[in-house]
Amino acid sequence: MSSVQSRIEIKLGKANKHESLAWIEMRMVLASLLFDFDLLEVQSDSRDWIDRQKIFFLWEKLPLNIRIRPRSSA
Amino acid sequence: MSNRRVLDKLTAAIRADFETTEDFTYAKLEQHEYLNAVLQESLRLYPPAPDMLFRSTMEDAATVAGKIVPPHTSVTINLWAANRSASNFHRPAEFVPERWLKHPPAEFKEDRRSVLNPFSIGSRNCIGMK
Repeated sequence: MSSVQSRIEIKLGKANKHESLAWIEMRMVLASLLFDFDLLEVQSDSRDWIDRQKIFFLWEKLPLNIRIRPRSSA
Repeated sequence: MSNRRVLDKLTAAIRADFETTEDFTYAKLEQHEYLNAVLQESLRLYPPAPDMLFRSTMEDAATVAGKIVPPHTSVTINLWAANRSASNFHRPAEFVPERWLKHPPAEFKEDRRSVLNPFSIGSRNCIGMK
C-alpha cells in the first residue's frame, strides 16, 4: 500500500499546468481513504463536529519592531 | 459519516472501478463521475472559504445582478448563503451528490450549478486550483 502522499507526488510529476492541485489532492485522498479503509463510525468526541466550527477572516499583522530595555530598578 | 447511503455507494464504486491503488491515475480519478460529484457536493455544503472573497469594480461603474455599482466599490458574495439557497439548489440543505451527475435526477434539473465556485473565479482565484 503506497502512501497517499506518494500517490499524490507521483501524480504531480505528471500533471500539466492546467491540472488542479486542489482537485488532484481531494480526489486522491478520498479515493485512497475509501479504497483502503472501511469507515465505521464517528467517534463520540466528534459527534457534534459540525456545530463546533468557527470561521475566521485573517488580518496578517506585519512585525512592529521596538527597542526595549530591562526596567530600571527603583 | 452522517450519510451512510453516499458513503457506501462511493466506497463500493471506488472498489469496483479500481483494482489496486496503482490504478489511481490522474485521468481515471478525474473521470470518476461519482467521486467528483461527492467532492462537489461537499464543497457546496462546506465551502472552505465561505465569505470575504472580495472583488472591486474598476474606474467605471459596473452592473452587478442588474444593479448599478459605483466605481472602486468592494463587492462580495457569501458562498454559504449562495450554496444553500433554495433559489439555486433543490433540497438545498441535503447532501445529494447525484445533483452533480451528467444526467441528474429530474428533481435537480433546475439546479444552478454555475453558482458553485468554491475557489472563487477570475485571475485572482485560489492558487491551489491552478
